[in-house]
Amino acid sequence: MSAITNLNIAKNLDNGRCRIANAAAGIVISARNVTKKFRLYDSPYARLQELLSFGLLKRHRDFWALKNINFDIKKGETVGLIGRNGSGKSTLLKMLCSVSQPTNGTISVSGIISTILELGVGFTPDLTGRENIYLKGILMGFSKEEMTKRIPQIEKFAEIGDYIDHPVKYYSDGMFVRLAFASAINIDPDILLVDEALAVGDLRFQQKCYSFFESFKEKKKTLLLVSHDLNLIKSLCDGAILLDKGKLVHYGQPDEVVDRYLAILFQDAHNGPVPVEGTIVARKEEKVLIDNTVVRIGTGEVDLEEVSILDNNDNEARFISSGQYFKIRFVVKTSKDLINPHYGISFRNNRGVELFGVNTYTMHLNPSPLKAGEKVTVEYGFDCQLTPGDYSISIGIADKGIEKKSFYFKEYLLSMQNVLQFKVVESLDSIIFNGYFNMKPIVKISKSS
Amino acid sequence: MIANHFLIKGQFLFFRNLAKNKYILLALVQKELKSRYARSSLGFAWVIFQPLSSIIIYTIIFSLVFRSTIPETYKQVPYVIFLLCGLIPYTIFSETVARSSNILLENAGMIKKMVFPYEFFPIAVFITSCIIGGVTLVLTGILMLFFGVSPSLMSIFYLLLFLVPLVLVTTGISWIISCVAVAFRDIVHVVPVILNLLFFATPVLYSYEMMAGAGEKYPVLITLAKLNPLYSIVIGVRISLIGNEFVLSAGNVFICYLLSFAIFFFGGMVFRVFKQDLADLI
Repeated sequence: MSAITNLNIAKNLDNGRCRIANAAAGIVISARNVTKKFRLYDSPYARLQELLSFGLLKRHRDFWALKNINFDIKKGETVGLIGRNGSGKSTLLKMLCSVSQPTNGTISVSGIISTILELGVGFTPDLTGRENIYLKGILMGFSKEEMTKRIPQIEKFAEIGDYIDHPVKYYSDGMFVRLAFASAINIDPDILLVDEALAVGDLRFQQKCYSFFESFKEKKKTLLLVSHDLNLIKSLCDGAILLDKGKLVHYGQPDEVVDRYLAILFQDAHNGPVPVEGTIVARKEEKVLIDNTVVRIGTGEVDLEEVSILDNNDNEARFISSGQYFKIRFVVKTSKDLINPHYGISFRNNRGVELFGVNTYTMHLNPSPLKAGEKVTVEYGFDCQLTPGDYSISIGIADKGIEKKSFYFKEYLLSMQNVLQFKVVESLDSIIFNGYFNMKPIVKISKSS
Repeated sequence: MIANHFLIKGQFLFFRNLAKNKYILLALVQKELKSRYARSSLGFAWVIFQPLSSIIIYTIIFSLVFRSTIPETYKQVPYVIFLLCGLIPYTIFSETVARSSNILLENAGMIKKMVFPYEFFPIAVFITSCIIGGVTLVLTGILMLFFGVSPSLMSIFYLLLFLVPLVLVTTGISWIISCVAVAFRDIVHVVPVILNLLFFATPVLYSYEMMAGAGEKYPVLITLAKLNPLYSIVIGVRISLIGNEFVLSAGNVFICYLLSFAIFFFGGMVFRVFKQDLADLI
């Protein structure tokens, strides 16, 4: 208890921003019009010039890392924070834990915050792991006795053995993050901010962290998680925040937010470097439309008119038994001439993992050109060897492949993520197997004499 | 309004914060000592070896090689004692300031990730320097006994009288240096040059009388030198330890105190201004 008061006093004295606000509504983190501006100087000399000119010279560019961010997080919520690199996620976390101050707007946070920001959480290389944990605890307002009590737990969670008494500069990245994570969670925070720290740990440690997150959730504590692991966001979080270019694009259900994030990524991929032969046709402005959960990205010149899953007898089906033959049929309408159109399809499982993706181009097919206004029906047939579970289908249409054996096109026309969902059910005669696919094993067992 | 916040209130808050979070300061001092010595084979023994070795070198050089004479005021003690008495306060100051120029940059990792009173860093450096200075002082005391010089009873009082401005000046300047160095790394290179100049401008190697004699032609230089708070501090410490008479005027001591407080408050203000953006700048 003394630690808590200590810390609060320290925070209050320190910046006066840690207010016990919104307590009645159960809101523990609240951001109002949070804006962060950085001044970018081309060189250190430019900074000196500006300083010495007493405001007469302007030698910096303003960079708005975050613009007008508003959100509330309630006690006990687990919220994912996603966005591309440079979208402002880390800047936001830094401001939430008061390390950095917003240029405008207010942030109020109530409760003990612990953070795992990037790697290391501020360990001093020359000190041993144990000394670093002590130092960190004391800087956070805990007494030495309290830290002494906590050290065994931290040691146990980190599982780095004797390395705890070695200087942290000799640690591997994995050990570093283990200790950082262990020391951050073992001070009993009410709110935990995690910034992509887990990517370095090995699988077992990651699983340990996930189960910690689960128990943290159960204890009605608040977790804000930055991660590029969209499956984690979907499976763990109650809500998700999508940031892009410093703006809050969406705050809602994780599935929905992840889809929007994928839409942004896709758009980005189209802008991104693509191997080029000759010139690329100037791309029309892309539209991202979202109806229900279907994300549609494209130029708007090509449209998907209908999509259906058909069983053996051409009846629409949403349940396919494993081992069954099934078809996916879709109708494409174009409003411009397509010289070398290609149609792609991809399957994802319920964790968003792409299991199989293919297109007519990678299959060395050569669909005939289309004139503006024409419609075409594409039918893909599959032998369903998927493990029972939920799946979704995404469909893509592009023009002019660039290079054999690749998925690159000169023109991306339409991409629709998760257009249809279907379920694969166990069939009576199918074998039982683990994993994603039935690889149709053939077993020969012969006795050797 | 701003002046009120930054100067008076801010500085009071600093003292309250210091009292509340003394464990943080203690931890930072430990860290500073550890990062200086803990990883060397002899460890903390260097806290004694380092000053001891310099004292031995000074003793050999100034007792055998250069035999300098010093004025009546200082009881005709050996030059090495005269030198050490001035060197101790000056070294505390210069070491702290030099180290402060990169203390924040060195701890960027912590500053970027945790919120705590960053203004304790230069103070931790100062305390560390004081520990080493204290060891040197004890060793100097032993050397004085060896040479048959005994400090007067007033020594303790005088030492305290000059310790106060030493604390204030050193902290104030270190605050300024440490945070300005974050925005302008050039400071790291500028500081040694200025410290070098200051070393010769402060009567460490020579006495006040020697300075006055040499400065007859340029009285301006003398006036300037006297404005340096370290002038009174160095001479004051020396008088307290080995002086026969008090050669500083009340005016000198007053100016010293006035400037020290001004530097301390100004330093605190500069640090508070930078503190807001420290994590972004670093």
